[in-house]
Amino acid sequence: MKYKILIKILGLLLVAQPLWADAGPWKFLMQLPAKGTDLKIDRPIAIAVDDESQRYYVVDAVGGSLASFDRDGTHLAAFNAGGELKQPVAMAKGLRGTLWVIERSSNQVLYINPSEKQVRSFSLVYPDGSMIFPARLVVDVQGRLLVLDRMRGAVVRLDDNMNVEKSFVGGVGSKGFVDFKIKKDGLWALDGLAGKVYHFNGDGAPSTVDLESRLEFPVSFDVDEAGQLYLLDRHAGTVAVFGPRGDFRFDFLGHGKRHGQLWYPSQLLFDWEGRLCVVNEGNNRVDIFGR
Amino acid sequence: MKRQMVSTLIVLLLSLIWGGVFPASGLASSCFSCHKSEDFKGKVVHSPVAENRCDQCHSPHVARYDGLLLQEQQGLCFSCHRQTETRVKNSEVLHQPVKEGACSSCHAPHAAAYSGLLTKPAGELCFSCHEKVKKSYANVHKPFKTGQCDACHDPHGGADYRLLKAKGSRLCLGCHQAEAAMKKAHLGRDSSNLDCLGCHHPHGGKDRALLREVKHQPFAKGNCQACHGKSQGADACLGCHSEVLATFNHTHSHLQSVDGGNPCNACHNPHVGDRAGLLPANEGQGCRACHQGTFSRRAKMLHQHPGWNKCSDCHDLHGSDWPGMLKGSPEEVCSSCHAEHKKFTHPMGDKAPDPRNGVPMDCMTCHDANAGSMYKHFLHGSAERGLCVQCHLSY
Repeated sequence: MKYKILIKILGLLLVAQPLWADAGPWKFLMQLPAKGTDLKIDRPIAIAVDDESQRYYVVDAVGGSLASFDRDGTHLAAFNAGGELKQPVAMAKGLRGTLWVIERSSNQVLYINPSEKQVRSFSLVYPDGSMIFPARLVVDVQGRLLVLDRMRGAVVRLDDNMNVEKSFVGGVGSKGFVDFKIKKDGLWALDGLAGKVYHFNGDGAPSTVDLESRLEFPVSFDVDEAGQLYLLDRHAGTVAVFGPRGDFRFDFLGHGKRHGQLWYPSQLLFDWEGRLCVVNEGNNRVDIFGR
Repeated sequence: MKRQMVSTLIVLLLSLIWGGVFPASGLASSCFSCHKSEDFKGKVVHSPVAENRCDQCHSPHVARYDGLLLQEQQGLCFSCHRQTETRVKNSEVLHQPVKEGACSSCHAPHAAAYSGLLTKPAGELCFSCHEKVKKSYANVHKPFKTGQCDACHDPHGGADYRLLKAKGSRLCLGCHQAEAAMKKAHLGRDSSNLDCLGCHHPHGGKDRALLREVKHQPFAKGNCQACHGKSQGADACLGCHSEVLATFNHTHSHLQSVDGGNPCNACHNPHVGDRAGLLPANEGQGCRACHQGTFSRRAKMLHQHPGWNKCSDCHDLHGSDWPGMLKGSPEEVCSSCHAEHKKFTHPMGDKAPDPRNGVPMDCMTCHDANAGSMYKHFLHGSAERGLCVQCHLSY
């Protein structure tokens, strides 16, 4: 009997071990652009990753361009869509090499097909005619475009004609979404001011995770494979990690200008192999960390 | 035997005489031989004084604290006033004297003419610091008129910076209990869900309802349908104020929807306000609702930028292309007031990249005008060394 209990405890410890490893400290891997290179990004504001080609795309809001890097951080190209990009603030990789970009100067979403040198712009509206103010965008595995609307603090999914097909909104007391991610299990959205993360499953039914401790100004987040929530605090300059139930686990990095510090960071996401990418806007770089 | 009785009587007599002439130190009778007893009399007397127990607070011989107090002021007060201590410890925001542990800023420790041992009548005492609040109104809220500030404010601490005793409409509904009349005045809405202070000025106003003085034109004309007949989103505002939309088209836009509704309402009251733009008189008040972290951090700092509560001096409140939503580059924003300083500053701009991150140096490289700091001129470190060695490592 005693041996059985011991074996069960050992079994549990073995199963739990990878979870502990997930919570371990992160190590700096590289920065984009690499230190010492001539490439200058005036104001990195957002990042997108292409899982297929394993590339990073850094959005430069002031330089009006997109810069691509390979998985090792080597700069590949800079692109401004023939001068169409004036003030891009977010980007997503579409199907078959296409790009979707939010152009803030006109408040439109641009569809860019580089191989055909084609750029089409769209002003998004709700079915009632009220405008959408796009802030972030993601293309899901089916190629559907999802956009974060700051006007209503909601995420909208668009059909092929760029009409709103579905809205994802917070419940009573919501302060509006500031970031969202698409995962295998559905859509996740961050309501930073309310200190909540919403999860919409395949049917669009929401559930919420109340974060145990309030952050100063969370602006971005992502969910790792263990279900842990990584929140980026723009004012505190930290990444705070919460368990799947919102229990605070640890935080790292800090407010500052040195290596390993964040100054007005704007976005956070995991790349194709779980590396953590943080857009360090005020320090003019993207920091990438590995476990 | 007889001798023993006599000597015992003599000892007793001597001790009685000694006790009368030299009372035990710490008891009022011995203190008042030097300190005028009249100074310790009043309509309200602190109980240790009334009980002649000066030694409850003071050491008669030596002490580390001013006034020969047994311990620092607030700790000493809390050693008896436990309930106040609990309330203070549970308060998110403290009244400044409480934060500084200076109970005697408001309370007389020995005797006073006013209840709570207040040094002045309640309202007068508050206005002695909060001068700007003392205004005259055509119609005045009764507690304000009678100086009963503590009817609404907790003078020690509270959940928000105004030290209000209750949240939302609960504060007002404690007195204003005529629910039927209230519903009638508010289109049948449930009073418990109303934001009374959003529209009514709690001290006074021009009209009987104490409405805030600047009125949105359609509201003043009773033309509710001008806005309510349309979408409840921002389009309700942009229909008339279309030129405003472009001010949000920046890298950092301040659009922030609340409850999925109209984002304009996050800052602007659609009916009334204290000033143009239908905004509250206290500018920081509006910002604090979302940026509490910045206000809390600043409150802990020794050195803060003057006028920090007027956020729009430096920040563009609709949108900006600069981090921190500054009105322009830090150099432009700072030099709009500190033009002279620009002439003798440390090198800045493209020719002086910050060695820590390669970004051109600007005023904010050394100063934190936003949250303040623990160093003079709200520097990021001590100007004697700590600040400079962050870049000049060989120093």
